[in-house]
Amino acid sequence: MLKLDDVWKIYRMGVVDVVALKEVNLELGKKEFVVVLGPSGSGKTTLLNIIGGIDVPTKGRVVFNGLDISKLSENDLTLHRRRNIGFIFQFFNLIPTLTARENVMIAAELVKEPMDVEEVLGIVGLRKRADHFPSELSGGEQQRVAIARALVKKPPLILADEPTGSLDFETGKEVLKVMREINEKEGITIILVTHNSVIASMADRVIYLKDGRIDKIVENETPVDADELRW
Amino acid sequence: MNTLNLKVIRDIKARKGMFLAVTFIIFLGIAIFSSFYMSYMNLQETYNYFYEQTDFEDISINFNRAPEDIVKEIKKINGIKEVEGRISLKGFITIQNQRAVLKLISIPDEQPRVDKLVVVEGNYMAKNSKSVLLLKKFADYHDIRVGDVIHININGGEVRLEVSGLVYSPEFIWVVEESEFITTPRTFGIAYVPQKMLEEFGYKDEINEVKITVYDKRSRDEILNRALKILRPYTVINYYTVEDQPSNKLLKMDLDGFKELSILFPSFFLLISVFAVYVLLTRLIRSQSGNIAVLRALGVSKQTILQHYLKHSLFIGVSGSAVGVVVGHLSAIVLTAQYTAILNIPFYLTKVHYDVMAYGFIAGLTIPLISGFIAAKHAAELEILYGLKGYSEQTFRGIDVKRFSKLPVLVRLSIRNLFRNKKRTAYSTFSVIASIVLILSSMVFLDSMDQALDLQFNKVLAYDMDVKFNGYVNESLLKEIKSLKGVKEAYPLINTWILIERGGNSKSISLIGLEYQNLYKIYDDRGNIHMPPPEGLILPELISSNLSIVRQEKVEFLTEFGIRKAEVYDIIQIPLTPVSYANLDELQKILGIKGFNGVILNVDPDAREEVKSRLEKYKEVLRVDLIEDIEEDILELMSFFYIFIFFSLFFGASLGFASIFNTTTVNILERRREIATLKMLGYTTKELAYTLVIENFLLGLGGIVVGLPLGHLSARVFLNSFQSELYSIPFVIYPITYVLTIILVMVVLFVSLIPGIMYIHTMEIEKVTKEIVS
Repeated sequence: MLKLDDVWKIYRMGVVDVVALKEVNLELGKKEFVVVLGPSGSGKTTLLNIIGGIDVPTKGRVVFNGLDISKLSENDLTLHRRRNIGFIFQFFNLIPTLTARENVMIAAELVKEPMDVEEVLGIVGLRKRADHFPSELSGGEQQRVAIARALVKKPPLILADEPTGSLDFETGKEVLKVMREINEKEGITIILVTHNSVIASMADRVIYLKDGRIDKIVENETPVDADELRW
Repeated sequence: MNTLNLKVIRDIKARKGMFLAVTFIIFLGIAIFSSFYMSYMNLQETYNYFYEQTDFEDISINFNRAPEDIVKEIKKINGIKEVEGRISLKGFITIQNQRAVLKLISIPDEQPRVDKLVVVEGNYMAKNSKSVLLLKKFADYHDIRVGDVIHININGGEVRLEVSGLVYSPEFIWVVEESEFITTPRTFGIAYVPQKMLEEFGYKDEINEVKITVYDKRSRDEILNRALKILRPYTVINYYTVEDQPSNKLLKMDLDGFKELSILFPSFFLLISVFAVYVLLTRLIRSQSGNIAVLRALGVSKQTILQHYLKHSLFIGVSGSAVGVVVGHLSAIVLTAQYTAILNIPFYLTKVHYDVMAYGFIAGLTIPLISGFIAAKHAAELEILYGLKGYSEQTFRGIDVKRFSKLPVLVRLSIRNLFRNKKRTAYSTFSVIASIVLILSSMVFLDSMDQALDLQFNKVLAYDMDVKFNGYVNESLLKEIKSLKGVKEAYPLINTWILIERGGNSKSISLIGLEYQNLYKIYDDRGNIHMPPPEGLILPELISSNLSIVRQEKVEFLTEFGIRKAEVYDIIQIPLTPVSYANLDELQKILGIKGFNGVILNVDPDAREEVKSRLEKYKEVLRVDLIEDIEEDILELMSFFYIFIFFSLFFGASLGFASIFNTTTVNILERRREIATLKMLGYTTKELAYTLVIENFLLGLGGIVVGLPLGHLSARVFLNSFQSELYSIPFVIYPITYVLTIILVMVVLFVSLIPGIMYIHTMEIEKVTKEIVS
């Protein structure tokens, strides 16, 4: 489904070039649950942004279902994100003036055949809280709304950037559980970026990044349930 | 409803105060424009309809006397539609011991062919009857009803006439008495009497006025010249075409004023709204940069983001201008009704001016859309990665920090906040400047008028009483007047009307002949005193520049005694109504007469009423005016003007309030994290309010420094645009006005802080912190 071929990302900071990613080669299949691990500044978020089409590589190719998205125009990249990508962020980024349901609806309206909004809210366990505004929801509930918003478009790929970073242990675990369920039941590939190594044990595959380079890729034969995670 | 549209509504609801403030600015701009412009159109249509219905004159010629048959000869001129010959004389009536001058105009048995009368009460008079028609406002003022009998004194004789009707005439929508500073129904009225009756006063089969209508307005000047040629042998005294007809000219000037104001005033509001919408949307977009980034990441196109934020300004534009045009239309009806109520016109026309409404609506829509587009474009162009990093509050840059290190921390904070968002500070300062400009541009009328009236009544006219005679009298009468008990000083004068002709142009003007005395002084607009010239005339600048006359030039002019010539001794800028002056002896020589037609008196205050009543017993006396009564009349007439000034001040203050409230609220909302932090540290609401007060004070100070000179300049331009050949008001703004303007602006600045301070007071620190974290 996704292939990264010698991907580089270099940022120019004044007169200095900062290499955020170098020589990244990666291939991901459908329905995978992938965790990207690495310390701060290792290039995790840059990798996610390039896969998601909100950033473009300085060099290399990113091929999504046979289409090189690194060559797409801005307009086409927007359409690519609309059809193929769901995003989940650390700080939820919900629209404060819209209720939980409306935050999901705003994404649903972007595609021709979205999932049923009520059904998605049911999947993330928020049907009863659907009419509440973000400020009336807990952090975990807000992140569930963000997951529902990513899911409702039925994208083949969901990208999650530190989705548990702002949550406490129990709530974080609940969120991871929902994400795993979506991955398994809806067959959506999920790439989850985190610096929490414990989460790696629930992944099908773990990619270790270091200094912008893939340090190693570990296949996990026996991923554990989110319930079993401890940190 | 589309969820993004729902977000638009929620965004507006969440910031309703700010959206309301900006919408209010647009609303005011469009409402003022529609109101003034529609009033202008309503009034113009009202006058035109009245003129059409009554066959209003195109040409008027006054002359000494000519045989009635001259009308037939004039009628032969090609292009003339109708000619009406008539007699016009002056008389007076005494009502409750008050003498009022009447302009008596002869009318035929049937309605006149030109300047027909509209009878609103009673009937047009019966053939050969001893009846009179009175102008309605005059009759109403003196409580004269149809059927009442009035005694009119004409040339020393008295006639008894029954009031058969009350009328309006297109000639006297605005009543102007020649050579008078002010005309009020208290002292002057129009009466229409049968021609046969006026003929008895020395005009048997004669007339002294013709009124002409023409088929083609373009041929007016040519017809006037041909008619003048026929009438020249009969000593033409005055003539004019419809543009210079006194009533029509004043109405036209007022119409132009309405039109000018309808553009000038709203321009301020619409200009401010450009910035207001920009500031509001920029703030909204900045605070929603994270949301925008997420929406873009979800696949929302740039176009959709652009349209989304444009809808916010569309809301402002649509609601502000829709309500604006409706309120404008309604207030135009009220304004038209109120304005015509002070005129002599039997009706007023109002209608829905769809074209004006459309212009107003489009202007009110386009302006916020343009500034909204600039802001929305920023939103559409926002880089997703930048937006995802989250919104960072405006940082402080660009000013030497150490320079303020000795000031208290809260004061330093206020100063630095001003430099944080320079564009917004500039906008706020601009709003203060615009308010000052609006206030001073309104106040200049009040001050200049006050100064002009003070000059007129306390310096120029230093006498207590002014006597006008039926004709020219001699020294013996003056001696009698001087000997009246209570009369301290009395000086003769000639007050006449001349028409100066030069290079095909002509201008009518009052000419006053004075002795060297202290009761009537000639002042220029700078307050310099001029003596009556030893020879020739002093002309007002307004007339001389209009006719391109220079000093020492010999000018030719029409007088009641025929054509005369005199040298221009001096040209000066005369305040208020332009008047020309001559030495009394010199003027007698120029006119070829002896005697005078007026006397000015200085009278013992306790003897004024007594002297007045004794003077009114003289058959030669047409009327006696007390200066204090004239001053009172003027103040009464000025009430409409004061209402206008009040509204202008209200608009200026509202503009300042709405725009400053907007930026202050934006400032507070944008800094709520640091305000929450300061509250957390233990700062009280009072201390935090203090920083805002300092900030607004500095802002106001900046606005005042630029605003006062700019306001002064714009007030001068504004006042100049209202100067005409009928009056000139010297430019004055009193120092106290500047002080009051500063106080008003500062009050507006501080009042606009109240909602923000209340927000800080009720701010829930934990909620703000949580909101920012999430």
